[in-house]
Amino acid sequence: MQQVKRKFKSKSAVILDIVAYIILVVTLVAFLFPIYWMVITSFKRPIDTTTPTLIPFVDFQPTPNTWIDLLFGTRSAQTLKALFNSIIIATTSATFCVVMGGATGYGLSRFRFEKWKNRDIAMFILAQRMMPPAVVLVPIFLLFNFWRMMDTQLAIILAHTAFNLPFAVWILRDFFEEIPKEIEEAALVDGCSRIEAFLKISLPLIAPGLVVAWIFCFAFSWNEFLIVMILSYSKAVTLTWLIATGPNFYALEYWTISTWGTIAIIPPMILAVLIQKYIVRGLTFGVVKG
Amino acid sequence: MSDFGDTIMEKFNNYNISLMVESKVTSTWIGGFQQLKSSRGGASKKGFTLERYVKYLFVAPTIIYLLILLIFPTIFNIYISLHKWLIGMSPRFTGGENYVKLFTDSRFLNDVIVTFKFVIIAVCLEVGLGFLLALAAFRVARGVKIFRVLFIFPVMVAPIASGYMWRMLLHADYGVIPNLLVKLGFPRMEIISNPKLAFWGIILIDVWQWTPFVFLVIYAGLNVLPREPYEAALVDGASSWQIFRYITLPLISPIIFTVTLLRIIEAFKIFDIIYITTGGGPGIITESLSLYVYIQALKFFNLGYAASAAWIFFLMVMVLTTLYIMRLRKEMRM
Repeated sequence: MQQVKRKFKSKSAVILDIVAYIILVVTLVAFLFPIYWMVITSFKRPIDTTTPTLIPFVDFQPTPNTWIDLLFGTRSAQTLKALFNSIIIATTSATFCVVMGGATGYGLSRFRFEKWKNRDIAMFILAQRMMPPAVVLVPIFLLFNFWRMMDTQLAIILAHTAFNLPFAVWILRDFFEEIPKEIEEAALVDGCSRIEAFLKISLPLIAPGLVVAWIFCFAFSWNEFLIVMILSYSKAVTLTWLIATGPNFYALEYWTISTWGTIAIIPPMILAVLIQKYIVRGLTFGVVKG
Repeated sequence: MSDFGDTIMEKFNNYNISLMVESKVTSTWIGGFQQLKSSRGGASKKGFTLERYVKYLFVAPTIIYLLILLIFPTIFNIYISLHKWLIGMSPRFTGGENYVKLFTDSRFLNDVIVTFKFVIIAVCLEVGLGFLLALAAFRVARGVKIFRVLFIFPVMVAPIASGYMWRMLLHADYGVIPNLLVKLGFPRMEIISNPKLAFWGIILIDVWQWTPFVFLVIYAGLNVLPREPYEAALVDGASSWQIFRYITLPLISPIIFTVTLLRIIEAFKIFDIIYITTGGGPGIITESLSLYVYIQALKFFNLGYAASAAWIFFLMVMVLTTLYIMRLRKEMRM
């Protein structure tokens, strides 16, 4: 469409192009500014946070003191515990989600279920995705209390898996739908069992889908806060918990909480950039063409 | 004949012939054995049964997992809601008392309205703005890749962190935005603790966080639209407005629908941003339903009452969920 359009470019089209560019750039700056602000605040001296200082080295002298203090100094135990918990919880629950979600997504796209139709199962699972965590907050609290799992990483892992699993199933089912069934059928004819066909043929073909699903689940779990708050109070707390409760203990210590915030936003961002091509493809279901 | 059939059938069971039959790979071979099988009335059921049940192996773990950790709690929620259940005390059955209390609780009713208002306004703004941005990006194809990468960032920020960022930015004395407004001649104002502005502050943060997500999805959708209708329209001399109205809009609407659905689902859960910025205040002006359940359960320790509020919350979400799933089925022809 672009190529066709270029040939007939009129004056008004050029103006529209310029307007489009301006809209994009302005919104982009506006959308990235808060992140920029938090990152530079983590490098400010306490005195610099009381005035809106914008540019490092010009407006203020950046210092890594807060970072050193939080990672190696007096408050390092607290920070590192939360960081460690966040990593353990997010990686484990994302892996659970992809393993179970991959199998179920495959099952829903390859087999025909009779009593409950495939679409019923798929929609049932999707409906679970819509459930606000607050709805099951009380029973989940009582359940994990009953199992004596309060304030453990495992409790949060299990709860996060429950909330992200429907997403993994749904996205992976779409990835499986994309790959032609014939490849597998050929393998089955050649004497491959169904599980082998799944593990050796279909899974490698949707590898990008698995990565995308894993990263989404990782980010959901890493960023989650409500479940973490009701299931933990000291040992299993994560970075989001630290940021949320920080203002209670360090009222206006913007630099401290900004540093925690920066630590918390880095991993999902890096992961997102690494797979950015696949994120968009994943969202459009446009994997594995040909 | 029977013995011969058994041996061959067993051999073929090992080779998953049943699946070949299922997938309609037809050859005289298989056709023959299929006949054989049907004539023998499924005597060698063992292998076939195994193959038949393999599919449950794929789906069962997820279903069981969700039953234990989501469905059971949802049902257990009703049981809790029928009791006066305070933390540290033995529960006492009170029937529908919690619900009667709930519907006369002006705080709960306020929170229902706040949540709905928030969802409607925030999602409309996000979808509108995201669509506009996607159209702009689609128009100027150059440099778009970098836009696409950079727009991912706000989506990946933890809502609790984005709430904190904005709390800093909106701080009346030290924040960038109030200071900027003062320079532009406005009076200095506190947004987060202002009864008139706090709600819009929450909307602003949510729009900041999720518009890029809508943008990414719609932009991706625009890029996979078929080209033929556009070429035909250009040949016919359609104006760019006509092209947009009669080609782009109908083609992209399923994707807009999907992204709106996703946003509504997520917006209903709003908790983190409110918790860290206003905490539901000033007063209860920005208190969402999630926050209400949380406060009742873990601030007032009134689990039974919180569960009844959660159950009403669930019913409301369920109605919307059903409506959207019906739409989705139609769109996806499922």
